[in-house]
Amino acid sequence: MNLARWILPTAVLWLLSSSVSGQSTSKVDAIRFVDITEASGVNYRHQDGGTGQRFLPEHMGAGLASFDADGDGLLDIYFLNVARLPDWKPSFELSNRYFRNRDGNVFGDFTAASGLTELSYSLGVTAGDYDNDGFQDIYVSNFGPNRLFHNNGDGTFSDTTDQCGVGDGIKFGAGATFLDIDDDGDLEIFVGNYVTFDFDRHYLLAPKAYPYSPGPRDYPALADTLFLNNGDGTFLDISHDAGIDAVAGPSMGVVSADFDGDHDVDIFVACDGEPNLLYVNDGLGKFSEEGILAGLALDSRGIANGSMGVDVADLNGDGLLDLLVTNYSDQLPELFLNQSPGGIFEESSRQTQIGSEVYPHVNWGVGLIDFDCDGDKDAFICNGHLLENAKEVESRTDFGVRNSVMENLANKTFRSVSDSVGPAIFQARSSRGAAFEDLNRDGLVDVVILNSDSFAQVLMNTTASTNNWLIIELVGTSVNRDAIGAKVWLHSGEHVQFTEKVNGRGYQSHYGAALHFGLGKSPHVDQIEIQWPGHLQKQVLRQVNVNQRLKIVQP
Amino acid sequence: MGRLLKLLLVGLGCTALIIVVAIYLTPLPEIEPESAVSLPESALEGRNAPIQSTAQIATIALPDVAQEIPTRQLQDELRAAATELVELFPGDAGSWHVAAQVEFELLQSEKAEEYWNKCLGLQPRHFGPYLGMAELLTSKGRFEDAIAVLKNVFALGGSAPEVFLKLGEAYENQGLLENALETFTLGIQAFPDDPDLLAGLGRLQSQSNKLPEAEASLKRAIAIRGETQQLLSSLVVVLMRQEKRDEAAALRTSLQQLVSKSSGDTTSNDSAFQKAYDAALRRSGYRIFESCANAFYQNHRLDLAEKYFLRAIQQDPKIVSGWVGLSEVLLKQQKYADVNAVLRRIIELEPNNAVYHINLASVALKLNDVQASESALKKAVALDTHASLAHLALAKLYIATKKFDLAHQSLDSVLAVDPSPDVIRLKSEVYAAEGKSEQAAELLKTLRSTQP
Repeated sequence: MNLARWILPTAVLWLLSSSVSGQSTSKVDAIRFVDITEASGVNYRHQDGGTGQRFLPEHMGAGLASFDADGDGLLDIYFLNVARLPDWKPSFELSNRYFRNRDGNVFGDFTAASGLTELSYSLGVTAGDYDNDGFQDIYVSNFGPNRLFHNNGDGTFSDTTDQCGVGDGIKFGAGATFLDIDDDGDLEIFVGNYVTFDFDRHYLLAPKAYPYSPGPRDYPALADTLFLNNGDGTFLDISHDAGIDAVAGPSMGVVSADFDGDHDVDIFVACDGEPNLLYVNDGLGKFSEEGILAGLALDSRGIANGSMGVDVADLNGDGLLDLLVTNYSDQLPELFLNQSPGGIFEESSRQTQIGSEVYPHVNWGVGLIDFDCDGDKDAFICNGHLLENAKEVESRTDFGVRNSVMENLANKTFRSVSDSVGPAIFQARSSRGAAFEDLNRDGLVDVVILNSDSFAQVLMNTTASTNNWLIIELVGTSVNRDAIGAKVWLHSGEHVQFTEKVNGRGYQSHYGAALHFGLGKSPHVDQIEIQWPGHLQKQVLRQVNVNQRLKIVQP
Repeated sequence: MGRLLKLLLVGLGCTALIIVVAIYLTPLPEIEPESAVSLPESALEGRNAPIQSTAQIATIALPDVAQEIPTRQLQDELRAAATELVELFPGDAGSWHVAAQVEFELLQSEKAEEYWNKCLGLQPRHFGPYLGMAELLTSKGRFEDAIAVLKNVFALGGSAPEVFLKLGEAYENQGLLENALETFTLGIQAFPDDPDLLAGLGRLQSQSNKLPEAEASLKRAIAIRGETQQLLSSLVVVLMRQEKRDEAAALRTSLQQLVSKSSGDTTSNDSAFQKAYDAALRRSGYRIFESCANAFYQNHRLDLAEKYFLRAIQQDPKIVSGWVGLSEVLLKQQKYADVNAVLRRIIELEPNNAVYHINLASVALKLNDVQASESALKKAVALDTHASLAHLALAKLYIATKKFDLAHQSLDSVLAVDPSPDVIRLKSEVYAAEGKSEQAAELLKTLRSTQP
């Protein structure tokens, strides 16, 4: 009798808390990953191209892109690699590599066959359909001239860099993003540039540099570049006229979205040791840098952190896009919570606990993804120092550090679940870029990681989730075909989720071909609202079934 | 790297800065009337030509400029100093505290934690090590552990702005905003004008959507400390959130100027990062060497204390605390000529501190240089006309040199401030020495009537 007296209220309490939070606390839904790299056939290995002289590019690692290169509905992967730096001995060439997704689980190397061989020192990448022909093109930023590969639609690509005029000279490129700055339906290219690295200066400074090597503050920062799409297969460098080159910072990860809610696309740039940049669009394609006023330039201590990667999502369910920026060691990742529809952000990492686990480490790639489909966005953070001897220099961290998974608890705080997601993330490597996609079309988002000077990893999301989900692919008709800049509100019961189709994100990477929503136990979606870029009116769909991939074409 | 200074400043509960404090509060040996009247004849006769004995010539080599030292060498030396300390005095908590600070500064967190644990095992009642340990735990992302450690500081009665600041930040790191707000509020009640506490309070008020309160806290902090990156960036966000864009935009300009000042010089022949790193290491090196010296002093190893005070000074000869510590150590070893030289360097750095002139006078007397002693005391009196200490010392010197009229003047100045029986007795003794026995007796009689 006594037992029953205690069991009943406990059960009611459990049900109540589950219902109120809108989340399942069942271990069935605990996030899990399995490393399928070997079985997947993804045998890509990144190299830094150096001989331990610690040239600045050696530390950078690189990004990667996930995109549907061949139009078969399966997401493929394009890994970046480097070129030889001085004194590099091996005779073989290093190339970026393209892995075609055969069946969701197995990939094949189609680099040479596709024409995506690239022997430059590649650092950043994004994918987008710049000519609206229905096929995703690739833009690669290099330490050296950049490259644009046009997708021919038959599984092959052509180098259209010179034809399009988007090589951007010989610079130290970083993240890149396709975006439509003037809502004319075709995509511009924004390229983040790092610093003016030169070998002579390195040789001058390096002998006196201990225990670190010459860094970004030792070289002049480079202004970023914006190429206007002329709509005829050519681009025009409008960096000056658009106000982009009015400032310069050591740019790394970039992402474009409507941060100030005025229905045009803005650009956020994570900067390494200098204030982050926010280029605010006036709606006519002219930009002003307003990072400080928006609260995005510095952390809550007024410090310009060594920022690396960035992702955007509504992390607290208030219908506004927030940003998570990864940083150097001894610096918390910055979670900039959006406090106003006009885009005023407050750095709130501590109150949300999102970065507590990675504080001692250097962090790079980042994804804000609902891994357990419970209706809020979790965080995956890639870690690893840039120095091979990091343990000697900073004993609390290392070159190889396991990555971190932070679970969102009801849109308020995060907790680390890294210990429980499985041994897939336990391998201590120095990760850089990461991409997050549903590779095997099971409704769960998987992870692909580029590890610096090491083999890549493919982590399949094996969360035994009983939660529902919906994946939405948007197709623009009068707007850009990728629907970059489209906003989506998804209503299920009392719960409303908001997201925006963005391009270029993470650490100099690109992912997110389709929009993924976890729905918890909601049996259906009551309503989906879509605001296509440049349009104020919303398209509305009602009573949508869950657990499906939904293609929505702009009417 | 600046964290060590903060730790030391709040670590007065530990053994660290005792020397520095002691020498300020207790000047070099008092010039007692007995010793004054028994001054060697040579001091009185030859005051225009001080004796140049070996003992009176400074033998210590004092640095004029900061030493150039490779980073790796300085790191190794700091580590070696800490090792020497704990090997010689393994049972001394202060030694482990210093060694832990060294390892923490050199980012060797495992060793630092081990050493602080040893320190606290030996002496759990000093709060400096707790603060160090808390900062270390924070750097490892162990925020909950840091809170537990910091609670010990309060349990020990530790009350300093830094203690409130650290605990408030620890709660903030742990995501406990209400606890953090409460801690900062309590801190402000105790230290209403501390700009760091005001900055923290403003930041938390902003995160708690108490925007007008946040604005007031941050503006008050700026009024006290001036514009800093932290304060301006927080205030800009608070203003923008209240739609005070014009005011925020005006601050942005100032903030951008501050930020650009901290940017690297990309044309220098030295790495910007390396320069910043080296400067920070040198600052830390100074404090670490000084801490080592203090620890050796506490453990009566004056030779090593002297060595490490000198090493501290070699890192930055413009900081006075190392010189003061060195003078005390040399004094203990009765190296008066060296003390004299050191005190003169201290006075170059802080010419308006009367205590240093009094100390110099005392040492000059030890060196039989009465003229220098008198000169120093006159400077001390000129600097601090209302303080009795300098007047009394000068009076004693005049007594010793039989300048009784001047001694009376000085003693009258002392009596105006401090009419104590001892001073009255001294004045009586002067009368007696002058042969004015009636006046001496009258003075003593008056004293007895007021102080039976």
